[in-house]
Amino acid sequence: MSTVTMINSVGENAAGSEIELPDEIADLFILRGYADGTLSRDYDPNERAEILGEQQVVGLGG
Amino acid sequence: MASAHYNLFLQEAWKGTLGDLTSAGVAVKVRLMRTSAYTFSQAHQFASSLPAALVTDVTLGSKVANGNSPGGGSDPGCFDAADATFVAVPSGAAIDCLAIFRDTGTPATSNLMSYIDGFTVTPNGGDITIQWQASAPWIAKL
Repeated sequence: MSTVTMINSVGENAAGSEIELPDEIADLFILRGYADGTLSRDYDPNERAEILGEQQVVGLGG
Repeated sequence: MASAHYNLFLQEAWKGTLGDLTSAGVAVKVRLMRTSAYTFSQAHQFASSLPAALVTDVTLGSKVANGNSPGGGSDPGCFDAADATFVAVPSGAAIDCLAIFRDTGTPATSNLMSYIDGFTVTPNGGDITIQWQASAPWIAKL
C-alpha cells in the first residue's frame, strides 16, 4: 500500500485528502497527475505511455 | 439550455439550511450526464430527479467560496474546487452536461445546486477530467 495526497478529486477520493491505496492504483494516480506521492517502482516509457493513453480532458469556460 | 443554479438551491442557501458547503465534512458531488437523458427543470430540487450515474460520481475537494482553488482567491461568492476526474467512463454516446449536488447519502434529500452544459465529450473508456473554469465564475457564482 502507498499513501498519496490527492490533487484532483477522483471518484470518492476528494482533492486535498491523504489516502492509502494499493501500489498499482497509487502509481496510476501519481503518473496521471491526480495525486502527489512516491512511485512504488520505476516505469519505462512504454508503460508510462500506456498509463497515460486514454485520458480525456474537458476544459469549461474561458 | 444555459448553465444555471437550481432556484430551490438558492432558496435554501438564503435560508441557510445547507451549512458550509466548502467544509470537508459536507460532500458536494458531480454527476456526468447526457442531455438526451436529462432535461433541466427549476422544479427539480433533489438528486433523485437526476438519471442514474454513468460512472461513480466525483466528490469535490479543496472547495472554496472565493474562487481559485485550492488556496482561494479574490472572487467572493464564487464556488471553486479542484478538478474532477471520473475514472474509466464507459464508452458510449457523448456526455454533454453535469449536475453538482450536496450529497446526504440519500438521493431524495440531496440538494441539487448547479447545472452546467455547453461542453461535449465522447467517452472512450478512459478517464474524463473536468477542468473548471480558471476565472470567475470558476465553478459557479451565487
